[in-house]
Amino acid sequence: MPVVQADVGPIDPLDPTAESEGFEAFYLREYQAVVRLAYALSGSRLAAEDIAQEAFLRAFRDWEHIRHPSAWVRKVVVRRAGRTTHRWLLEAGALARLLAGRGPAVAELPEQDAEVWRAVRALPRRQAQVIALRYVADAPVAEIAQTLGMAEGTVKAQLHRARQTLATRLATAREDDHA
Amino acid sequence: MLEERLARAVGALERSVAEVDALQRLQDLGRRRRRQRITTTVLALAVAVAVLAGVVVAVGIVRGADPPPVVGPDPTAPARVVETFDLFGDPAAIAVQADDLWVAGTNPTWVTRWVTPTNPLTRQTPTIALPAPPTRLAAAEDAVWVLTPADNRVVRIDPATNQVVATIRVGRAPSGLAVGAGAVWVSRRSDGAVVRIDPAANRVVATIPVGPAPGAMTVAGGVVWVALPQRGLGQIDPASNRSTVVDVPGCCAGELAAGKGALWVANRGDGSLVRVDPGTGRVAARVLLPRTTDQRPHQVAVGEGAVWVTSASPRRDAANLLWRVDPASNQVTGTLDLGPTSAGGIPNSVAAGNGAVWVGGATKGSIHRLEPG
Repeated sequence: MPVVQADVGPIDPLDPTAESEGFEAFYLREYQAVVRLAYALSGSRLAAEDIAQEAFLRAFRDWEHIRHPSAWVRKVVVRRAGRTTHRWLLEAGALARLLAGRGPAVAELPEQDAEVWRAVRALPRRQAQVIALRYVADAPVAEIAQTLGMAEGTVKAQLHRARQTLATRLATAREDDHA
Repeated sequence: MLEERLARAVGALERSVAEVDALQRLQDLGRRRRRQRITTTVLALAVAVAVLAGVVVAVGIVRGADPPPVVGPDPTAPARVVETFDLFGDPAAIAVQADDLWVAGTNPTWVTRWVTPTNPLTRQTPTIALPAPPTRLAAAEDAVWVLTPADNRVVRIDPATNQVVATIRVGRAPSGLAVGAGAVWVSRRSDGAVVRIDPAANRVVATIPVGPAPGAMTVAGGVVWVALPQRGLGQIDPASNRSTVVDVPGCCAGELAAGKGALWVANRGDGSLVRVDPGTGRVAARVLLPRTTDQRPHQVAVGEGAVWVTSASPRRDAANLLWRVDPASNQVTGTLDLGPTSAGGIPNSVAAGNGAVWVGGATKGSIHRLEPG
């Protein structure tokens, strides 16, 4: 029987599949959660995965120097998800893939839930980030403060204001719907 | 009210990304990284060539280009096939014990015993007939145990006489089989339990609930382990016959093996080899196994300095792969193509010992003997 090597390519020391176990395990554990965060803050299911992948790719490059990878990746995501031009570029790439028959694996949100995230994104940038980290990433105040480089008291104040604004806007939207 | 809406919206987000395959994306990430490196290299080369061309034109010197680098053979071959011996049926399970290779097979149903140090192998015994088709075999010093689920039994063979000396009823839908910690253990899918057989009495002495659909079993670190496809691993203390569940996310649908101070799970769910510390029950490593198409890990064995994993693929003409994993680094250190599934089979059994790796079923009705590289 012929014995040949499987066509898996040469071993690439920078290939995550050949990298340290730490990165792989981290990636597999965190990937979906990070995509959720990117989706909530960008509002784009086309770009959400690309935003997450870029953050993981950066984490992979600096892996040896990152002490808190979860917070680190989330920090990159909350920054990038808010950049409109960057998101357009990613969406353009995703659209090209869509035309080539490779649609996004991220599903569309039901309208009433999409409305909530639209309201979150309409908040001032910091408040939106704080809400997303608190609810989507389930991060405690201390971790949010570390991720965003803010004092814990500031995080609490931003959370309070954001909740008030959201409650008002969503209630108003509901009344409008009923009307 | 707001908290409720946010909670519902977070739930919707979770559902929206539920179909995202993290393992696939990890492989995409590797490709992306390589593409970036290639792009960077090409750009750097283009700049260098442009600069060099400028210099050449400037000084009017034309020099021949260097020859391209020679790419040598892939040094990662984990083993080479040194012998393929045909059986008169299809192997279903194999095990190495002392100098022997025990093989259980079907069409018809039988067990044979081969002496491994000789090359080519010599069969030591006439075929030992079984009452029903075997699916698993576990060999110990004083007994060889064969699981025959079609008649809900375990068959005991005495290696001193090569005779069946007992058949033991173990209940409906038996699945996994392991020998160790002073007993023989059989998992049952029918009621999510493991039965304990006392080898001194050849009868079931305990039935231990472990959880839904228990599968493969092994003994590691003095503890009995059973794969629970939807929950992780079941752990049985042989002293008390009490079981606990170790939650392992995304695990453990697949075969188990013990060795090198670890418990290994060939996890079909996410295509990885999961290493568990038998002392703590914690996942020590997840090793991604490189694929050429949609292969998933299937069988696993520890021996000859490595962990050996065979692949399975539902796709016709997919390559049957044998992966070697270094237990010191938890890295894949070689991948061997054992031929396409169209050649007649998928490797359904693997064992390592006596200087060789043994793979059954890669081609129909035969066993490969491989020399580790």
